[in-house]
Amino acid sequence: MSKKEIVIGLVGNPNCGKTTLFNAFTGARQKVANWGGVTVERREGSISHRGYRIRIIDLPGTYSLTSYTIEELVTRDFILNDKPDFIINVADAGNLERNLYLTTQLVNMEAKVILALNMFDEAKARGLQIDAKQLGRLLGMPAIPTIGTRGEGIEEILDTIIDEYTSPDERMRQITIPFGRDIEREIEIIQKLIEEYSNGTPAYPARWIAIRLLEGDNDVEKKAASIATPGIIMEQVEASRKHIEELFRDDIETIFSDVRYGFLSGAAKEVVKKTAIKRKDISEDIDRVITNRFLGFPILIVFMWILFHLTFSLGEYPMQLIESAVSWLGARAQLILPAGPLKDLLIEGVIGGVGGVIVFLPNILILFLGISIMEDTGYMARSAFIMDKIMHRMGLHGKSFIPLVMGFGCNVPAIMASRTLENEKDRIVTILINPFMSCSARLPVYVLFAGVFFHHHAGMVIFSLYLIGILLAFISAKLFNAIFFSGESTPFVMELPPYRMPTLKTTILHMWDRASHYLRKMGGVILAFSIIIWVLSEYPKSPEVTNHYQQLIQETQEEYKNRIENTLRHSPNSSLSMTQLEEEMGKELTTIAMQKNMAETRETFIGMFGDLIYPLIKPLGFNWQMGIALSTGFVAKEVVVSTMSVLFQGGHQFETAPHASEPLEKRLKEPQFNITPLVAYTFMLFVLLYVPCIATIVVIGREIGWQWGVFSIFYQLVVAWTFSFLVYQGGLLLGFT
Amino acid sequence: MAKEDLNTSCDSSEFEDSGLSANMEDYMENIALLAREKNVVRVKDIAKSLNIKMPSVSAALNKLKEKGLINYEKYGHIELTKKGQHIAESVYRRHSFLSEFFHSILEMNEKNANDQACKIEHHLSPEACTQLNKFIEFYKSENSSNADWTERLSSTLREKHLSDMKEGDRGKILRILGSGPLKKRLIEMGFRRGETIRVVKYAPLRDPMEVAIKDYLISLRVEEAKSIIVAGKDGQDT
Repeated sequence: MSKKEIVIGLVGNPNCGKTTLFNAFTGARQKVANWGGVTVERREGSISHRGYRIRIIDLPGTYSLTSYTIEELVTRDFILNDKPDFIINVADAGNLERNLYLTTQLVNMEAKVILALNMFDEAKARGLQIDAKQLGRLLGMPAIPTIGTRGEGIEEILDTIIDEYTSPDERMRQITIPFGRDIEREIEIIQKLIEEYSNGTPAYPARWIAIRLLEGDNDVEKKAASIATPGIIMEQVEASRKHIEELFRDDIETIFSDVRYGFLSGAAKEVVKKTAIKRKDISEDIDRVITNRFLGFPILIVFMWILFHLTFSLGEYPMQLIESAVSWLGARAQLILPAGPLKDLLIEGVIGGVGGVIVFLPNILILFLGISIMEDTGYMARSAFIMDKIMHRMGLHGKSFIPLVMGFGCNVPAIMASRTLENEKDRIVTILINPFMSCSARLPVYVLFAGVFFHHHAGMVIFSLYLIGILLAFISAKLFNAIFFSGESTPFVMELPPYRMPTLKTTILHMWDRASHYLRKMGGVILAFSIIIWVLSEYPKSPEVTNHYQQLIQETQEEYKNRIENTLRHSPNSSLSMTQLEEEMGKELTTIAMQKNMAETRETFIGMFGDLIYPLIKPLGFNWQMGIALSTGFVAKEVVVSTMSVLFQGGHQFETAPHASEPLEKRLKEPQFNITPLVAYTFMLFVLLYVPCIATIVVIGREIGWQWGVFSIFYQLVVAWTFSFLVYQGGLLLGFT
Repeated sequence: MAKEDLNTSCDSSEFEDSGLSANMEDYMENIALLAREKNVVRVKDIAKSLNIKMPSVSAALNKLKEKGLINYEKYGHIELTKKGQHIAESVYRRHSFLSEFFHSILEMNEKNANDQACKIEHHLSPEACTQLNKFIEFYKSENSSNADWTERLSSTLREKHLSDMKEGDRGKILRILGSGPLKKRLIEMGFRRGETIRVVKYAPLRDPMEVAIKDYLISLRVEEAKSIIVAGKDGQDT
């Protein structure tokens, strides 16, 4: 038997457990969240069942299939254009009427729907008894109870799909949602016109086009224009709409939705039985406390504070472990490997670079654990509820809050999460300000600098950076709104999903999902760049410079040798001046070795670039190594630290320098690098504000257009430079160092 | 009890002009009311119920005494004269029919209806009072014979914007104003005509608000809730 492929689209309201069901089908590791519309991307998985290959596409969660959001358009176009073999319509069994509203639209589109009555157990616990078979008969589609979290009902759906695929049941799919005689007559007239005027069979179901045209769907109007002579049809549509509206003394939207809901509440009455005891949902009671007038904000702040504290304080213990493991590895390699360029590459490029980043993995794990718990419990939506007024005032949307909070983890998924914002304006503004949310990749820089230069106040310093980022994000949002967009705002209407206990499995899955993403990014991009940076910082070699300094060293040594001999000859007993001389020589040699290292690095590619941009960053108090680190940070902020660990060396007793195996923390403080706490703070500020990583730029470009990607680069650079300049020069004026 | 007592006949002399200032009318009304509650009326009772200082009350009482409307001796009881009784009843009559108008016809709650009546009762001419009273009587008889228009009137008057409802209020959705994305979204999310809606709470900053439809919770901005028209009364009626 040849392996046939069946294509299936998964459709459903937000918060109906669609993603959980998708995971149950495919075993894919995907985020499961309580907050509306997390699955904005198209996710796919495939399985084998009874000799068939079944491809399942997880479509975005939508309440309806009008063309009003990206999600709806994506879903609709997939159904119409890709023509999947089946649609699995996931519906929350505890909330049938509203969930089935979408189903009526699927029926209109003549999609082959299989209804999954999900969270059947929850509905049962709430005292609802649903006759799935009867519901299926009423809607003309198989209706199957499922429990996504336990994978119940999956087998039955797969069996049904294959049964229907091999021998379609003729009695099914015969149902249309009846609109009543008067409306049906008008629909039929338009339907006939469409069939008549399109060459052959229309690309989309004619009845569906007729209904959508009556409802005034712009997108369908465009679609209809391509298949038929639009003039005559649109004239008829206008006339019919007017007729219906006059007849029912209401607008067409209300009339049609009344009909659909009427049909559904009839169906619900027939199939749903409420048993006497109805367990009260505790969500409202929890809301009374959590979004309480007085407690709402304190609770939000406490949660954020806990998240912060756990990330940085608790994360420190595993950090220290990893740190010592990395330096042990460096020391081992130093002993085992034969001398040569490869040894340098491995120790300085690879271990030094990647090791400097891997230590921050615990921080990232904890941070994402917290974010994922917030999402899974339903608290994320509440935070949008609490924050909307403030966000709205900033020209944003309550839903902007979640992408912005996600930005603290990583700007890339956060920007993608901004897709849930319906209005383009809200989405663009939320995306553009997202890089100001200090992502976890910037954290290594803060932890390093704050730890070295601010010791006990490190937490405060880092917190201040996060706050500055947030403040600038809001100011920028205001600015963008004023400059690029006029003041209108979009519907906020949003479901507050019931509170749920997050399961350990999903929480750990999420955490691991993010962590592995971070690791993959690190393993690939960062390792590659560590090596490239190392090469760029070693080559081209400049023998003249090396020779010049070698000579200088020899000359100095000889000079001192002579002076020591002289001293010995003149006053053999003065051991005091002998030690003095030896010390003097040591100091001078160290200085020369330092100069040698600098000079050599300056001759390299990266040194050249550092010199090139040095005049630009000098007013910010940065040294040229920082300039180079910042340039490499454009690729990914994690690289800033690894670049530094390559560049900030030298200055020890020459030839015996321990190089990268000595922690960067110690090396940074050496006076030759001239980093004062003020410079350190300015540098962290610059890292916070300047260009987000290349991945962020790419995502911005893909989401809202490349012109915005380019704009973002310039905007961030200007903001970063301006603020760093103000802070550094202002700090100097105020007498800080 | 007062209504029945006072609104038995309908001749126009019922609403004569007292010739007193609004302030004085309040005193007369108050004395009459207190006299009905207690056997004796003292200055401190009046001061307490009108929330006015005792010396001011005494001064006002002296004026009323001059006009021959009350009998009053310093530190003694206060009594309305026959003439005074007549005027006080007339003032009170105006008050009670006005507050009835606001409460049972205009569907305002009892306290607000009372407050409004207090504010305008002194400014209506006898003619306006008479005509308004005729209207109320007509409405009542129509209403008791189940006339269709009184039903429609009262349901129109009970209409509210969702944004005007308080925490815990319930109502039925009548219609959604406007058109465009907001209306579409509301319909998709189950804001359908006839559905019962309940205000669960307002956000800490009083915006947005959380409402319950069926068993699920939805949040929307107060500004958006303005476009949802509901029928309902305060409190827990369904």
